[in-house]
Amino acid sequence: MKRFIFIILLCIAVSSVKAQTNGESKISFATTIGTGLSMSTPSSTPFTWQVLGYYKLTDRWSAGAGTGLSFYEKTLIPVYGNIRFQIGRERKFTPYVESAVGYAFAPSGNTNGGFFMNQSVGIQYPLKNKMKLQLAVGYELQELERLKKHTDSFFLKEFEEKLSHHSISFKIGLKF
Amino acid sequence: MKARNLVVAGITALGVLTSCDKDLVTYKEDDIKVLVTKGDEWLHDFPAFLGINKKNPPQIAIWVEDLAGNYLTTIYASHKIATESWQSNGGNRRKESLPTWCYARGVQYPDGLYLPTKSEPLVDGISGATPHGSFDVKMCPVGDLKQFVVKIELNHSTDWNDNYPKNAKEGDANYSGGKEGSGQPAVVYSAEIDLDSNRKQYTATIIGHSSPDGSNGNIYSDTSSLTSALNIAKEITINIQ
Repeated sequence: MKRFIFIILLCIAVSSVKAQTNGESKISFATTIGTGLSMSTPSSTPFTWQVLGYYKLTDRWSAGAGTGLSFYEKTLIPVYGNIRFQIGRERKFTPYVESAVGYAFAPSGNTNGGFFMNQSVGIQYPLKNKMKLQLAVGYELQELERLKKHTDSFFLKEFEEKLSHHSISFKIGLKF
Repeated sequence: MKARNLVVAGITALGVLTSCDKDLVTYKEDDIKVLVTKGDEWLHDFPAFLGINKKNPPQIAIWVEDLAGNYLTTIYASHKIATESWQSNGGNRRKESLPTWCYARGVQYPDGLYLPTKSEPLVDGISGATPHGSFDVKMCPVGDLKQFVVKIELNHSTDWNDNYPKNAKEGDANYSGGKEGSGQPAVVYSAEIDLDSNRKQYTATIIGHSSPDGSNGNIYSDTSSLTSALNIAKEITINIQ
């Protein structure tokens, strides 16, 4: 039921953006894949796939929302808000900074999602048909909780492990 | 107006998502809950780099012995000692971290120490990232063990005081592992449990401290040399549901 409510709200959000910007071409999209260098113990190397929608606020500022899949010890679905600032005017290699903050939820029954944050700096390079290649490096925090259990001849043991994964993230993607 | 709707929708969606969190550990009648309540010294400054300190939670082991003091099983051990994943240890295996548990367990590794290694870590299901706050572990009896002792050992690295100073030399009675060693030794709590009684709650009490340099598994009952180490945990209770 909660997921259903969420999907309805997401549809409302997307349709609101379309209604506001129809014909003004202020909307753009991006998709990225990424990995990271773990800085935490226990460590887990993340793999991510994300899709984002941006709304152009000014020539330099964009705001948007994103989702995707993150693979740590468990699979997570992050949902987040995003702000992007283009550094300087658009040229062949255009630098930008981007900040994403949100929450990742876990489809698995023995896992809870948690706070998600990614701060990155990158460059974009124009390809064909307004498509741009982008490369970014940054810092990512992903929190999650998982159930751990073990049984021996005396006891079944269970506890909830809270994990905070700090990593240096690397992303490559396309903006269109 | 549309932008405001968008923000409201986004915040509501996040609220719905966060409310999806569930209790991963659920208790039923007769399950046993070991509840470790954090004390004022639960988090301790550990030198990270460039003079910056990191707040570290303690190393913890929870295990069960029979009434005669024979080790039976480990319930929980923190990730670093369970997998030898210390950071900035310069090759030191940190035998002084939780020696009472290590010697009670009695598993000797190729280097002669009783600490799990990277290549032979503890079973994954009983080791986890040390919690930054109070936490609980569930024990559900599957055999016919009715009377037993739950022991808990806690320790911080670099937890120096006047009795266990940083500059103590190897061979000194108060040597605790050197530059990034233990400082004050590990504290050991214990509670004797009788599942045949109607008692529902037991409070684990401090029965002593471990060997400062980790050279043996003895428990030293005089804790007068300890200061902040006595406040790592506020309370440890064993609750029969």
